[in-house]
Amino acid sequence: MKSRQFIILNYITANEGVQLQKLLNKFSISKRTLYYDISNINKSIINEGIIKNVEGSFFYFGINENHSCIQNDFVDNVTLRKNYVLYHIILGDLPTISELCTIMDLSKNTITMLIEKCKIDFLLLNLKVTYKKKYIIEGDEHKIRDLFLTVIENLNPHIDDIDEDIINLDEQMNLRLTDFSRKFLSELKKLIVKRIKMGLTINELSYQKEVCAFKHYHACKMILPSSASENEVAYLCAYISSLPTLNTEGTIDRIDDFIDELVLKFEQKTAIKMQYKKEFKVNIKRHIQSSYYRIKFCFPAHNPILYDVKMKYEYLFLILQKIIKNSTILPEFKKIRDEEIGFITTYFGGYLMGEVRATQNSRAIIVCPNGYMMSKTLELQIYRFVPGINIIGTTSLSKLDDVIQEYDYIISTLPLLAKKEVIVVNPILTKGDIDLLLSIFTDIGIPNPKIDIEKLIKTVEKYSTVHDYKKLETELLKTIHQINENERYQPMLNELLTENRINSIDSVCDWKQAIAVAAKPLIDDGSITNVYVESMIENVIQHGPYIVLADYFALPHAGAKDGVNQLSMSLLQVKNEVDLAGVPVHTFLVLAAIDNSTHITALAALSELLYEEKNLKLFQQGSVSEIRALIEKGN
Amino acid sequence: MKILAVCGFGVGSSMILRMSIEKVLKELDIKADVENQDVNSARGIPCDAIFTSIEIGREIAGTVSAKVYTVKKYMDLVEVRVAVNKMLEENNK
Repeated sequence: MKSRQFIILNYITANEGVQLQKLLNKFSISKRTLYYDISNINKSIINEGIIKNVEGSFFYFGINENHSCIQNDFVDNVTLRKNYVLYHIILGDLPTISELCTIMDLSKNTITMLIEKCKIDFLLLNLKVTYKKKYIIEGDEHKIRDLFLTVIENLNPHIDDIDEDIINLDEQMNLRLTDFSRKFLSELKKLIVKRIKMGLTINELSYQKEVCAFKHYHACKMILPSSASENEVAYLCAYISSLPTLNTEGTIDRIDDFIDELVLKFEQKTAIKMQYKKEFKVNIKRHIQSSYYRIKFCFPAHNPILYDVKMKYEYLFLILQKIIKNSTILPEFKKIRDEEIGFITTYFGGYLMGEVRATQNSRAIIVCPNGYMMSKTLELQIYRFVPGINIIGTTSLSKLDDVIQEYDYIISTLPLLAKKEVIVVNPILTKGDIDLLLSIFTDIGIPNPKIDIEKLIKTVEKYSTVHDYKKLETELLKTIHQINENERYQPMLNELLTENRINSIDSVCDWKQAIAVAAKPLIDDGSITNVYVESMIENVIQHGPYIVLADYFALPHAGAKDGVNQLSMSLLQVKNEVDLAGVPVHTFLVLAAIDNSTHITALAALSELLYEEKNLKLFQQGSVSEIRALIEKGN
Repeated sequence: MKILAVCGFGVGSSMILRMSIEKVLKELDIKADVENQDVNSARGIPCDAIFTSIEIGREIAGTVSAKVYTVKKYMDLVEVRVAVNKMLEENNK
């Protein structure tokens, strides 16, 4: 909470029922700023009470009327601290160490360490840091700007202090930027002006010519100093086009084609059949539309869950990356950032894992005390992060009771008392918020890291005797992990065809025995039961030898349900040719599927291998270790 | 154009067949929807063509309205290519 907000809080607490106009005059702030301050205050005092607007007068409701001990944001937020310092180093106006000690309420030692850490960040980006009365950062100008833009997004911006020029530009050009967009733009302008003054400017800009044609190009020229180069104007102009706005018109023609291409190639590459294609396309279009210019002009995107996405959907991420970077329809996406691919991966991942949970259960309405602007910002962010969500509308707090459509959840930036199913989030979604939303609206919630195993064990201990703490802990972790991972993980071919599942024998008496021998490792480790072996044989008797997919290569399998305990594969090579209903076979690859999608990754890798003649030969005649090596390579 | 790739259960070999068909269609630069299905479901899905094995082809003949094209080895791209070309020719008539 900022000091002004702190004073406002104390003022309202001391003067019950103070009127709106009086507050505005007293603190000489705009209505919008006041509402924003109050929403911030309420978030800070969430455990103690709340400030409410009752017919134009403000009251404090709560237990504690003495707010002197409210925590400083910097005390427990390490990222915020670092971003704060980075921000001021880049701008060249870092407060002195002793000033920083006061601002952050930290020791001198901690502050010095913090500054050193920030310097390392610059070095890692190949940027030069020098200190002559103030910090100067030199190097690739694009990298410096990118870092700055990332930093301001992480600073939890307070949407006051917006540059007058920006407001005018927004209004004149009818851009309808959101509050945060205005704020970011003000910050960027501040930086550009400073950099130009220091003679540090963008020399190369690949899209300069193209951006000149944008309708707000000349307006951008007006708000920068006259010494600004064409490149700088174009840079600012491109940045504006990448920002979230409330304007919904102006679609880019090729996006539909791009999405068709994306989905088609995705299906081809993974052999996944997408069932609710139309709905999915609508969903993802909304996302790509709003990020098109950001991707195209390579502005950094803030994706707090990128790391999790990469861990969780490693394979999916790589596939989509390849498809998008090679798009023929939007070649400008060649330089797409990982963060952006991360967003798109979340969409596909959400689709695959959740199989799009019936949207019936997930209708949400967004409520914001600050009204339309804030809720719109929130809506755009939610579309970005949470696939498949069905936002039926946005409304202000006062009008919530008038909403007639049915909804299941309220998403709000403030706790709404007396309302059920309220999800409280920050105006700029944090990782925690996104996790929460994902777990509520899809089945793909990222494992909750907050589960406290120690507490869990203590609870168990209360009612039973624990003999082996360590073991209990590992087992609990395993169970929790499994629940979250589900059985939906798609293993790779080499994870399924492990060493003991690849065997070779000289001969069998007939193809039925061959299938039985091939399946034996899976029977032995409990992956399948004898019922499944019978089904596979029955299948050939009933439908013929179609399971012989290529020369001398058969894929015995049956339906997904009977006798399969877990997705598995095993391979048997028979040196002497086996007659399978009239077709000669050497290799039997048993496939035991649990549904119709989790084995796709492995099967796609296998089919790629089998299209090559020499690999087919190796499956017939190679040694077990050669086959194993081929499979390792084929992933 | 919608094409079904059919096998006994719609999970294993039909998926492979589908990948082969898609590979061939891609070479020919033709856009089509290819789905893998089991024998019974295939009977109820409207489509332009069905690809399957000779035996299953015989099994479903007469119970489906779309033309059936048979492929002996699902991974034999030459064979799949012949069948796909045949289908395209007949569709163009």
